[in-house]
Amino acid sequence: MALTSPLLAVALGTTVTVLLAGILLGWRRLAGRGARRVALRAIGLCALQASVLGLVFVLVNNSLVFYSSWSDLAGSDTGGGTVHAAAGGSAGPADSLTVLSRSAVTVPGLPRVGGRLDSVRIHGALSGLTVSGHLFLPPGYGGRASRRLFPVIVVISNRGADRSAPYGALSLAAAAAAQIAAGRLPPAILLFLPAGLSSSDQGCLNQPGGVQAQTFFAQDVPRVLQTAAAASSSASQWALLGDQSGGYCALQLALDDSGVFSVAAAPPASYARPPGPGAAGSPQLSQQDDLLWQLRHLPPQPLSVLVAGPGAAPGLGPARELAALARPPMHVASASLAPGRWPLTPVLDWIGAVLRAPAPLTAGPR
Amino acid sequence: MGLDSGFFEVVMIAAAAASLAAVVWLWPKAAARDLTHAAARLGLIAGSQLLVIAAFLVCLNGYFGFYGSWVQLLGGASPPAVPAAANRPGAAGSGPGGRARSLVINMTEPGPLPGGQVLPAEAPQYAALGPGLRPRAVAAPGLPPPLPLGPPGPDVAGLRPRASTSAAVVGRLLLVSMIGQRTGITARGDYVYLPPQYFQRAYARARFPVVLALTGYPGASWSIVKRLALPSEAASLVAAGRLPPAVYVMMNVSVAMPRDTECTNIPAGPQVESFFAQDVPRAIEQSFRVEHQGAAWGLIGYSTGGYCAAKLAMLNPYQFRSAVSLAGYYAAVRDSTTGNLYGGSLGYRHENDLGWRLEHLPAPPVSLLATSSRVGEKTFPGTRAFLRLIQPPMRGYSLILAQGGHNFGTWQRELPQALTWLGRQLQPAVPDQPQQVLQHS
Repeated sequence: MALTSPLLAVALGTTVTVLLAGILLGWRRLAGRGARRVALRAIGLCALQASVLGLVFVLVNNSLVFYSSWSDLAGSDTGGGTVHAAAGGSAGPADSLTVLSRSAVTVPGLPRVGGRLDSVRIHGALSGLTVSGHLFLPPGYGGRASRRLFPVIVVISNRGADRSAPYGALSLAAAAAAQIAAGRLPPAILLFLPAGLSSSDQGCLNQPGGVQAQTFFAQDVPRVLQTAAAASSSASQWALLGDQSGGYCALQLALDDSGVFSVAAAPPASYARPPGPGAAGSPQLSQQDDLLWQLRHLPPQPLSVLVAGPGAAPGLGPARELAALARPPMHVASASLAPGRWPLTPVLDWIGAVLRAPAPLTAGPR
Repeated sequence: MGLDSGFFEVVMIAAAAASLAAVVWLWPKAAARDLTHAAARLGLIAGSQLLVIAAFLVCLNGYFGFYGSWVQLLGGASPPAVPAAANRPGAAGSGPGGRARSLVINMTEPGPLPGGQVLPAEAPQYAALGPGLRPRAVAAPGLPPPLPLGPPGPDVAGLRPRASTSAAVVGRLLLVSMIGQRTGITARGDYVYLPPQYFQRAYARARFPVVLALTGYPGASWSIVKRLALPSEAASLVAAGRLPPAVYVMMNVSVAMPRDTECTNIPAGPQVESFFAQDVPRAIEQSFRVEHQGAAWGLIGYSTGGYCAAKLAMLNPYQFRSAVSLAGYYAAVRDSTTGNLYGGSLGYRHENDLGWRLEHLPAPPVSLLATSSRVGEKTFPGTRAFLRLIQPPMRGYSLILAQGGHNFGTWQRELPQALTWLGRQLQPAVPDQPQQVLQHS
């Protein structure tokens, strides 16, 4: 009879019933003294216990299928089968970086060209998202062939295409070129991407079952820049910079993917999850995506964070709470930005100093 | 008394035997014809039956290693739902620079080495290493116990070629604890197997590929060493020239026992996926001479560990390029042992359903070997359906037995082929040229 056959369970069940009935009915007859009666008691009892154990084992095994046959139970089956290619196969690299147009970055008062600003389109293999943005390449950039790898600053702002906005690609690339020329920022790649990858504000998080924005920023973007451009693969050389629309993104990505990013700069703002549709119906997801909650409940990450905004007095409002919750190896500095042509210059200088420093920087920009 | 200790098994068996003897002894005293005595007869039989079944379950648990302790079985002292930040600087065990140590070697010789002599019958008792949440480094002759957390190099952990001559022949099994720097999750009682080549002069500067092996739920990492016999099988395949040497990290898939977390980042709870995908690789890279992420990192797991292996690779294809799922499943389960893993979000549950991912998201660039059996495996239809969904650039491979249940015997039969397949996916360690070896000696 097969181990998994229902007949075996029925047979064992019948045995148990018969033995139990026999013992109960014959109890008085076996109650006397004498070796024969004692032996019969012991044998009857052991047989009942053994058949109950067997029944339990067979029932459990039938429902969970640990052993499929007697030989399986005895371990005497042999033959391990063979491996077959079942599906899929190789395809060309699905990541891509497409350059749509190129322009030179010039800095007033600088004789040389300060770098190159390309309009690009990035396709992420894992997220499946295609996103348009801008890519600043510093002077001296020689592509993958030159073997020199550059640090990366990912600028997340919905105003990247705005020519006059401080976080716009044009003005921030010019500011970066000027600081590189002045030796205050190491030659770095700047990638400008929008915060909103879908119609709703999802804070660069993976929208559950939907747009995988975090996969795009934390896995696809580093992969694209490391294969299609000469970007460093060390987290110590990857920084994030966000404005009001991308500040949550920058901090969220840095906290969640500290193996990819080690520097983040953002304006003082609310650190709760943006009110997009992603966490709808899940208070737990909303709670976890609150950055202050993360700082309270997860170990501090090796990050340098700068809270910077126009007129933002250091250590005020939500930024004060952020700074108070940060413990080494996470460090929070703050900076008040003065209005001007390139208000983000001190932020670039600070990022430059962190990228050069071997350890997280504790002080804010001068 | 330890749930999985041999002594407890003996006590339980003795109690069951004593109860049988007691029933035989008390038999005449419950022989009267009234109701009280009839009830006593039933009580005697039921009580002794319960003790026999309990002894059977304790022995079964000892063999399969489902639950390693009373706490794992009943909960209670398990880590809180959200692990508190345990690694404040200055706390005991902090390494240089204020960072807590991410990996601690608790024992360097937990038993005779795999591939060498026969393994001990029992897992080393982790409880004997001392109470408290923080693992204690154990001093071992011949090896400096504290693990330096410097840049990885040939001398890390003092495991140089000259540390032991026998290690260069049979390799070394280490009992380790890991403390997740990203997630705060602590995993104790896991094993790292370093192959003999790790200690050989020709490989003194080589970085090794890594295989992360995961148990089922509930399970113990010792089962991978003893029942699946992974290090011993790998050692003999390497010796036969069928498998490149690799470092094997063997872990219990359940880091929040008694909860079955299914390697999920539980919303506002333990971030188990990040622990295995980020913390464990960083801890291993910082502690041993291994290759960094990608082609040199593979996964293997059975049952729940198979689901985890497939999921970790599919979600982190740049960390793990290949995975073997021995009798794994591919859907996002929810049952009494898991509780609410997905924060009540159907979308997030979908993201943990690997079939749903293949239907709705781009296929990741990973290779997956899925095993099952036509007869004896409930996972067979699900495995076949999942393999059909695989699209390039993902590659799916199958190893289907005609018959075999959900047990270590079946997985042992599949292991040689599975490891050989995995070995072909992994970027091998490159030894020095023979001339250089001659110059050294």
